[in-house]
Amino acid sequence: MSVIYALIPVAIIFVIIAVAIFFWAVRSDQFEDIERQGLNILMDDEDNKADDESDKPKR
Amino acid sequence: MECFHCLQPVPRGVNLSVEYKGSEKPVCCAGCQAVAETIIEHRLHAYYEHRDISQLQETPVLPDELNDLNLYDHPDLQKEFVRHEGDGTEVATLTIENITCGACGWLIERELMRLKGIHKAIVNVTSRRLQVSWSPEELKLSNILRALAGIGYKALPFQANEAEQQYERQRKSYIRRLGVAGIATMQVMMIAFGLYFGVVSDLSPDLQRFLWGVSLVFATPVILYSAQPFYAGALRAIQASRLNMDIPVSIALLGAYSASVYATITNTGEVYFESISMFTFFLLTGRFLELLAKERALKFATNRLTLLPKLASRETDDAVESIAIKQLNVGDIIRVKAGETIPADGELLNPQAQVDESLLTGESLPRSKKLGDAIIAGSINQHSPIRVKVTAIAQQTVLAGIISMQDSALAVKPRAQQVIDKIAGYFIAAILIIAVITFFSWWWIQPEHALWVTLAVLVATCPCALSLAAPTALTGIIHRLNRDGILLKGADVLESVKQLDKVCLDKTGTLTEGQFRLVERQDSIDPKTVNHIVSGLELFSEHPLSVPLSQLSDAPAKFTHVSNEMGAGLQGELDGEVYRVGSERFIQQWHPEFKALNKYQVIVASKKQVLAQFRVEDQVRDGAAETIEWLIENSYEPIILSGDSESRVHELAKELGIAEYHSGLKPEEKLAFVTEQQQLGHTVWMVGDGINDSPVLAKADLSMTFSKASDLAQTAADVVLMSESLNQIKVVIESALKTRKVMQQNFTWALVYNVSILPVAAIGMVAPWAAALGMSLSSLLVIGNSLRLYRK
Repeated sequence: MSVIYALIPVAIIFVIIAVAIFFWAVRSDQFEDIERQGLNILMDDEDNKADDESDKPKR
Repeated sequence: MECFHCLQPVPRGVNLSVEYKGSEKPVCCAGCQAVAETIIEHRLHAYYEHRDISQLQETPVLPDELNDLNLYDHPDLQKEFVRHEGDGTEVATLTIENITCGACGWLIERELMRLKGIHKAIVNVTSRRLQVSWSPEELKLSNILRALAGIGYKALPFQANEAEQQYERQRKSYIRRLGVAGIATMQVMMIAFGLYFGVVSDLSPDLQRFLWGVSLVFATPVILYSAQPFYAGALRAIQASRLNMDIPVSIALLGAYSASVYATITNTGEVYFESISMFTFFLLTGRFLELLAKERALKFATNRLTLLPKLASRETDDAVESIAIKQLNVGDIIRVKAGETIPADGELLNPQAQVDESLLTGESLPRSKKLGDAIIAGSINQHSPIRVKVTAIAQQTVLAGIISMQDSALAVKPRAQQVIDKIAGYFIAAILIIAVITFFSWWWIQPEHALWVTLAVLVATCPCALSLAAPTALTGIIHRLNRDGILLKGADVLESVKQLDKVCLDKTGTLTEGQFRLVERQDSIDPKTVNHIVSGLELFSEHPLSVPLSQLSDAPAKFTHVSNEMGAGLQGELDGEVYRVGSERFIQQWHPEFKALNKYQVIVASKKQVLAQFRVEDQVRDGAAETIEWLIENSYEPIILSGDSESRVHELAKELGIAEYHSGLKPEEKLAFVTEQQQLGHTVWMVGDGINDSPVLAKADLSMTFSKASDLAQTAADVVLMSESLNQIKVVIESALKTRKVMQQNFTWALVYNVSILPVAAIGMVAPWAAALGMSLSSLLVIGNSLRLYRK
């Protein structure tokens, strides 16, 4: 069980890092418009596919 | 058949389409066609696949309105909303009215990034805002607005609100606090589970002390950083010598924390780190949701304060110049085109004019003005261009008077007292008394346990569920109504619905649609022929009664020699025969013995015979009859407050079964009526849409307006109804009543829990884990109960 005395402090350091990353994310406005970002990936994907299709005749 | 782009029905006789993925799709108008073509041409068609089609899209701006956008390049106007960045770019935030879903945001960003000179375009769908930065040498703001109009969005700069920036900062700080509380609480809970197992199996004292220490490390930022808003709230309340819920919360948090720290250092007693961390996290979540709902409402309200190009055309010695309205002087002569809003009070210089004052007075018909008559700022010039001599500007206009009346009414609006703060008062007193009694009783029996048992009492009675009861229910109703297209600006609805007994309604634009439609007709010959003739002749008229008649036929007759007799009707020639359309008196000149049937106002006749009679009315709004019936059934008394004439108001009141009505009221008389009712002890709600309603909207206990109402009315109202149906009034009342019920259940449960755990804690039977468990379960129960409000 003595390993726990080393592991928990390591866990604390990880938590501090996690909080630091979280603060950075808040500062760089990543929580501004949560509603919308889920859709973005879908839209851009479709767009690429459409690009591929329209590129075909050119080749 | 629905329009491919805007999803609204395609009018009869319109035959337009766009090509989309190889097939022809119908569209309703040239505007939609142009927009859809642009979107498809720019290969942004993914928009059509992912957009939210449950909501109607706004019909796009028509091309000829686009010229006005140049006004936004005017440096005077830009000063108010464009920011210059150090690197030579300009930044502006615009509000976009008709964003409905995430796909719109994507479409706008993609379209703008195509433009040369754009640096950044970020759309926030929730607040319907676009932040855009561009290089002024390569691009003008009007080009950006035009590109947006090209894909069907109307973007306008708006007056930024200072309160909003404060909310923004507050929200970010809440996200940070919430994140810290969440992450740290997880760790504390994990360690707490280790400690719980220590209760049943062996845990070496060293290890236990180590785990207590680790819990202390994780709980400290939660208590000292995340929980700060509660301490601040408690301090503010104490300074103002009031009591609020933050005070018992702060006592419990800080008390339990200090005792746990003491326990950790001296290695005696109990620790409550997991209880207080979780407690902070739950409460913070409740506060955060409340803040989000409020911020959203505020942002919507700010979006309405758009900066329109407030310019006027002033005559100089030899030309007409365009100047800001602020710079107008009394005595200037200005020109106002047809369809434009009149910028200042003045005197008419033309022989005659028709102006629409409905927003200012509630009068449904445009008023005829003669040379020298007074023209009011804010009214709309209906027909030909007019010249006006300015008699009052800015602060002295009738419009400004109404605005200041609204401001003063808002200042004295009765505000419902927060129930929760009242409860908090009793609660604090009870807790403190019981804690003191517990401490001294134990001090007398077993002094070494006194501190820890008292602490258990404080933690167990911590009003977590109680303080979540109101905010979660409030957030529930805000979201629920939002989904139904109803925007709530505050929580007043919950308090005032309890005593609500009178609902006042405006007539023009509220009970009615404010637009004329053909209601009834009586034909003497084949209706098709009549339609052909009437629509052809009415095309030459701009009278509001003629609008529905001119659209009767797809193929209007082509009249010649048309003459317009002001206030009487039109006369024209078709295939050698002369026809007339107009008032009864106008027709009687040809057919003296003719008498129109009751209520028919528009008559068509040839020289030989009367062909048909029409009744054109400002139609009653959808759902008005049912809503009035429902109000009366539930013993809410509907009252009409209208600025329109007695006869029209009387007729509508009779039709809808409304017993009490008041007509011909000026804005101040409406205000006086509601004030008087309030002094008699009634709780009065007001539904209205015009500028003339805005003072009374501000004064009423709760006020509602429509999203198409005047900006002033929207600023004054507490509730904005997005849909055009009056049925929404019923939805608001029912939801508010339901929310009150849920809130009461929450309060009851929280109080029952706290009261029943109290004696158990007081006799020293509540271990830290039991306190944490009980508190979490009761909080979750309250949250779960409030979540029912989200469901239909």
